[in-house]
Amino acid sequence: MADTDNRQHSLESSRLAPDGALQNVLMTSLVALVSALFVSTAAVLLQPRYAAQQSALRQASMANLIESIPSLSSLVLASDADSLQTQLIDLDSGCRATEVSAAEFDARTAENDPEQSRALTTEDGDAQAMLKRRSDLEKVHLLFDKEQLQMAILPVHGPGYQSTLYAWLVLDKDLSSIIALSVTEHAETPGIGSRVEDPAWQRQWTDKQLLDESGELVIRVVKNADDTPYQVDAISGATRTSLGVSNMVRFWTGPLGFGPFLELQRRGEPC
Amino acid sequence: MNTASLLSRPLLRDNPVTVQILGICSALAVTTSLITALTLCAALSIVLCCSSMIISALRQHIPASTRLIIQITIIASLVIVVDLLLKAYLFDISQQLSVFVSLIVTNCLVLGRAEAFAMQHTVRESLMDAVGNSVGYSAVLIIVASIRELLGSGSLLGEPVFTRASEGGWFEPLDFMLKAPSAFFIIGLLVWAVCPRKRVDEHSKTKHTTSLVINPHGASHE
Repeated sequence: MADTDNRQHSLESSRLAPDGALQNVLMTSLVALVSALFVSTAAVLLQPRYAAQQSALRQASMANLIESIPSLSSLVLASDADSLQTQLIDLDSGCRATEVSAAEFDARTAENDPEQSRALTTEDGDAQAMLKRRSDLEKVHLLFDKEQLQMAILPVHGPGYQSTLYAWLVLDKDLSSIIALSVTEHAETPGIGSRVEDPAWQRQWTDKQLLDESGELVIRVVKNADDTPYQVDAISGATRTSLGVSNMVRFWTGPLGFGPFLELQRRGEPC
Repeated sequence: MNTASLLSRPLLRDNPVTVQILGICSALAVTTSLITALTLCAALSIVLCCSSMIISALRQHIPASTRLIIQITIIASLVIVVDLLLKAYLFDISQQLSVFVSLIVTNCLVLGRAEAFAMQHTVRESLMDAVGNSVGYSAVLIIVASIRELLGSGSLLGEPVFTRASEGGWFEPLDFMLKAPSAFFIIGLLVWAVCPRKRVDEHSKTKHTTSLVINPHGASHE
């Protein structure tokens, strides 16, 4: 049949095709070069559109997050529109930063800009293995009801297994009880690490506590979690993704992340 | 071979899915809804046509020892660009297709046509062959996806066709149709439906002794 004929034909024609070492090296290099140029041109040209899609997705994820938490959506509906405030926080001092407008601030640009961020070094301990740089300011969303803080929505991110995870961490008014963790962006292995976005897994975070009774940061993602409110069960088969989520939450609620801000708010002495 | 037979052979007699059993992985994965199947068919057709033409145009210069590397580099570049285009312009569908667009690289249909056909034929013939194979592959995926979406969710292209029992109609969605094994059964039935025709063809032409061509690049790539 046709394919068998082709095969014999190919043996004849392959004898005609030049097959020296030089020919092989030249041809493979040339094809590799042209392909690389083609792919990178396409990637650069399409990047703005892709970024626009991503940012639309992020905004939609915020709306979804508010809808998915019944207490949050009822609070937002019950209170004035102004009560969900977006504030820029200076992470080191924990105070509100007013010199930059929150609307113009982009955390991802800031993180890579040496003037708006700091490199994490070995002095920062384990955190240095997690993120290479940390922005000086971060944007948080705070929900007030009659001037009382009801809820804080913190953006968190950190490395998973093969991609950076981005999530919203929603804390109740005591700033230790977790209302929700919602992973909004990741590129983990489909079917394995990607289960990090599974609603059933994310629901586990609800009602967990960041701090134990003595105020120590104890929340962790572990295998075979016990029933205490300080442990979240890891995703089976996705150990490193689970560890990434654990480290991410601990980093951002710890001293290098929103720790100083949360501490001031808990004591009720915002500066 | 004339143009008409290049175009028509892959539709039924040499259909890449039902006869050569190539590209089954994607046929199982993306056929839960018609829109994802159509998108993957379009992506695969573009990759197959472009790669066949490029490889055919270069065939005099591709050394035999490194031909597979060169072919797969060309195919992979095309797949990445198609994937980027989908992400930029059809973001929602590309999220649903997840890895299956990138996996066109390993679809043995593409490499199979490059190696078995484009390497020995002119650009025009290779394009005809690629179009024929694309249509043959797409036809099977569209049939499977239509059956699965219709019986699994009672809709076509997202438009409801049957009224569900929960909404006062008679239709009870078959969850089984949304799971991968159902695609195996549907493709199996299609293979069965196509095969008897083929045997009659072979008997009428006594010259042919081999009745079934199994592509040597078959199962191992899937």
